[in-house]
Amino acid sequence: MSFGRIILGDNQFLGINHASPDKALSLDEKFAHPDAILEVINWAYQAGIRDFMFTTHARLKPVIHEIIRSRLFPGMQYIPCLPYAHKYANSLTDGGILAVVADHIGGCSKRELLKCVGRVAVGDFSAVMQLLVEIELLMTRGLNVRGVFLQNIIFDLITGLGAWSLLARFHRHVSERFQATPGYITMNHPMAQRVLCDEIGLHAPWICANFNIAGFRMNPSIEEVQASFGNRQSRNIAMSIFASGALGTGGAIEHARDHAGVDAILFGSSRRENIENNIALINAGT
Amino acid sequence: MNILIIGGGKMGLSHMAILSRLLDKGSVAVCDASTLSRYVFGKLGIRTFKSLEDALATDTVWRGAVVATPTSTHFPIAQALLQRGIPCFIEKPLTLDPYKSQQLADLQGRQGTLVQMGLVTRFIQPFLRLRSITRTGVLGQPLHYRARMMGNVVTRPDNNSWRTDFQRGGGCLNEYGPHLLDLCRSIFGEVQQLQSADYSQVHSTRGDDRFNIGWSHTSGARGKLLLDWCDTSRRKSAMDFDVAFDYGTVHANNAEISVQVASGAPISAEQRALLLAPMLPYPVNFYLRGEEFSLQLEIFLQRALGRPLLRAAVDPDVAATVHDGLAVDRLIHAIATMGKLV
Repeated sequence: MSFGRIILGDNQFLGINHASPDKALSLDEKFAHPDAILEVINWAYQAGIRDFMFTTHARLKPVIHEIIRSRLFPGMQYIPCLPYAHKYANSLTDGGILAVVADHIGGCSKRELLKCVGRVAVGDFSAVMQLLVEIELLMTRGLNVRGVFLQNIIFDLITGLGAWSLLARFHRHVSERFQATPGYITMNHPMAQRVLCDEIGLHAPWICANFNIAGFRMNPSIEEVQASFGNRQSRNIAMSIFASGALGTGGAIEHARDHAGVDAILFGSSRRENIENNIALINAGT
Repeated sequence: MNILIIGGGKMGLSHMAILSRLLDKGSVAVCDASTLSRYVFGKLGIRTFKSLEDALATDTVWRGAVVATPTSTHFPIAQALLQRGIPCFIEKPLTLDPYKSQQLADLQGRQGTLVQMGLVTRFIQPFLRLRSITRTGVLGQPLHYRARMMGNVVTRPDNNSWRTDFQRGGGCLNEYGPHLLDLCRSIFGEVQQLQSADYSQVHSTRGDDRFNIGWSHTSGARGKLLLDWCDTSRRKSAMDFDVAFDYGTVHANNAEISVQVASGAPISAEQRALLLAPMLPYPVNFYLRGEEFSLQLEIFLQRALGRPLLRAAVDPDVAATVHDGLAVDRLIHAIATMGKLV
């Protein structure tokens, strides 16, 4: 299974801008209503995008619900990224551990839930990853889920701790139960590739990482990230290609488009003109 | 090359992940009183200890320790580590009592053991540049500034928790204070005189939710500070500075910095270009949740192990010492006293 060459991202819908808090706040207000988000997805769809990667954030829930209910965007492939950790933290703060159970576990398949709990109880701790996927994918029931990605905060934390078994279990569960392609978002592409390929033994896993001219959040160095993108041991999605707008946009798309190790480009935009121009520029290289 | 992390909570976990990537596998161990925490860490393949005594009783040579337990426990833990000459990285604040902080500073002075405070906001890049502008004097002397730290930590009454109880180490001054007070010291130098300190409550009844502070530095710069952890318009906590210098103004926040140079300022074209140059995040060996968290630990390990780790062009001396921790604890005490919180 594969993804399209161009993937629409959702940072703009969630009020995320890594370079400017003011821009982030204005985006947050702009996309407070689901209709505003659906309008932008529709622009991207009309322009030919068939892959949408999104966070399992509460704000996206009514959007996804509406897409399923009204059968919007036929042929679109969806790539949820999980977990959105704040929602667990919020439930915990508001109502304690019982609220976490009531808010998030209630809708899971009882059979899957029992299987996961049983495994954890007999000491198979990595089954918590199955539980996480079960909970997080509740909002995508009925959606054409093509891939499931782990967010960088959890993937990098797990790799930092050296808990490879959790990643192996995630990979297997997503592939077998959901027949979807597992993927990993990271801020440390070379390390992620070493862990996934060498430590866990995965063949050509999908990795999504920053890739831009400026070296914006390309750790441990721009040279090492370019090399690990280029060695073909993983399939790679380039993100933050505009370096969050910090350095202008000149040549950004061509740089990612023309690099041999970039299989797909992920970008988010809130303006129709930018979406159409970016797509045209990326397609000009194929 | 073994490093011991004391406290397996949120900060301990974050430090553990970063340190584990910087060291050989199996070099980081955790000490936590919770059986459940030890079970989970054990399942992840991490060596665990029930108590600091247990960890210190082994044959392992600890080359460094990270203290990430509740603040009320910092003193005995840091004391035990320093008495054995183990380099310490201590989460902020140092202690809840300036007298005890002074004892730790004295002990460190006698032993000469490395102590680095987890005052992480010093390493946020726009604030590092603001510090450099102030210290090099490229825009002249800083005259006055406004500094704020705002966020949405407390959004409803929570009066049974230690978190909103000043006496138990809670409240906005204890939570946000160390970050902003330390950053002001790091950028503008020592505080000479506290002029005003007023707090107000939004949801809390045993502690402060907002603090307005006025002070002056030995350099002559005057500062107005605002701490507010009930600002629901914020997605997460953030700081910002507006500073007036002899030859211009600077606005800096967690993500960006903008400099306005006054017309006729005695600044060369080269200096001007440096001031206005776009800024990219520093490269780090392993990124988890912000470059600043990685940078502070790279510096600590570099010093504790005596081997080069830092990739970024950051002066290791920016890291906060035990004396900085002591100074912040004294300022918090003085502010709380003037504000009649104690």
